[in-house]
Amino acid sequence: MKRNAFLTRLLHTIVAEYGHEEVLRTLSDLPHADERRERITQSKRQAWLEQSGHREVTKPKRLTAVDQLTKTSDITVSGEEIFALATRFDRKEFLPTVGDIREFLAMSGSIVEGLTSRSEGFRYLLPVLVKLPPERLKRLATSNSYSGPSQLGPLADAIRSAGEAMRRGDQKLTTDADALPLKDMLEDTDRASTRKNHTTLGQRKTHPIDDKNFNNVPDSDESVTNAGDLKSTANRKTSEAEQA
Amino acid sequence: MARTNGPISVCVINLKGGVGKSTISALLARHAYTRRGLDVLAVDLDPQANLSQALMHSDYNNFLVQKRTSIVEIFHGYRPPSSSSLSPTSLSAQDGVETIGFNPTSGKSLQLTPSRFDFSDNLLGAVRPDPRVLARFLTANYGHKDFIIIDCAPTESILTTAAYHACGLVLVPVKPEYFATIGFPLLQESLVNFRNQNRGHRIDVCGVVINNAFYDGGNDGGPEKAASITDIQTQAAANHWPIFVNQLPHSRGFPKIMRGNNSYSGNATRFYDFANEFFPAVGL
Repeated sequence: MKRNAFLTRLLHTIVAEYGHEEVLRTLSDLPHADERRERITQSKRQAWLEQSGHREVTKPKRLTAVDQLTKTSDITVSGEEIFALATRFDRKEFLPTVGDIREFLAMSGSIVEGLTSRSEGFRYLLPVLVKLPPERLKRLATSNSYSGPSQLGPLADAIRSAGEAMRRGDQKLTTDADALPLKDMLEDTDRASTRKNHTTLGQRKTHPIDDKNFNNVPDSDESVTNAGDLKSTANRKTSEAEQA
Repeated sequence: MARTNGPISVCVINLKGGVGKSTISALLARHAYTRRGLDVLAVDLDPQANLSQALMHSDYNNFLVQKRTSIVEIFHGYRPPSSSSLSPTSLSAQDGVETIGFNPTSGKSLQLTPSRFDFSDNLLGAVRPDPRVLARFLTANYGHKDFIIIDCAPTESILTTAAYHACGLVLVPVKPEYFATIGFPLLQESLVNFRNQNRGHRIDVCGVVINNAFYDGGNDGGPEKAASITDIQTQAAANHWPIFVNQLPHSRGFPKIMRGNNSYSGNATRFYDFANEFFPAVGL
């Protein structure tokens, strides 16, 4: 019989005998019940340890990356950047998987065999991070370092949007990459990515472009952002012609 | 310490697509840096930018959004106006290059010149693109590298010529399938034309690597694959191109290990057999 099933049956009997409210009131008068039980368990355990000659084994608390960092005294350069990376590491924002740690270490010239747990990874990362130049640390602090499935959805959307802009006769797109709608498209892509509502390649939605951000888009095509819009624009024009 | 006679520059090319150029480029670049301790530069000349995505993985999106410089700016020869400068500025050695790996002990690194999907459109818009731009940029800034690997687009264009100008060796990946050798005569013609137009430039095919990416189905690909292999051998011999002994097997591990994800490698680890044959063959 399950322990809580037994407890339920007992409580049924008690409640049937004394009533629900009386039982609750009595229970609330027993605030130290848990502590007393704990004390009994502890004393029993202590007695068993003394009799058997075993020693109490306490499991050491797992140190976070920030804990490890604060215990290290030899960080003299770029301490702030390393601290920021340690904080991101604890939040699983920096090197989120053990594979990413291995990749980072390999890319830093130290291949560690047998690293199987992410939590022990920072111990290997720290000596490498300490040696890195400050500008590289700054770049790491702001970049992603995840080797898992690539986020190709936003990229695919940006490529498609660039193609549409070019088909609409935006000649500047082909000669000046930085001053164009592409900029806005990429920013749009970033916003989409930040909102985490980007789509995967398999379930890609159309990604309407905010035409107000386009400096060089011909006015006549302002409302045409995808094939669906093109069709609806054509339908609208047809119905307008019919009405006229 | 840098090589006294400059870097070994190899372009990975086949005028047929889907033969594994970007995968092989990414893996050779990684292997050269991590396993052989070489100072490496990978150049992505393919507007599809698969090599860039493989080496930069999720940071590639940041690279696009932050409008960091790429191969496009190297071909333009300047840095366009941006939020930090309101007029075009000249390129520095650090422009157009991303550091993928850096060994603080040896000072060696794996760097990448990333590509963008609007690369070919940018070149088409230029009046007269200069195919020697890349070679000039690399010799001016990256003479200290040990190994430069260039991933080419699968079409004959100014980008192909730019790759030829920037390297001395050509690696040709090929898949044993019905259309396998279609790219061979095109590539040979392209190389002959280049040699004729650039008499002083020596460029050789260092080898053909067979990307045996067939799922063998228990019969090693069957008679069609056998016929294709024979075809490849005949064509390669006709052009005096050596074939590497170690073929690349079919493995689901390739897409993972090319981007540094070692969660599953499978047969893809046999790539290292090819790498151990390739590097001595090119003099590294």
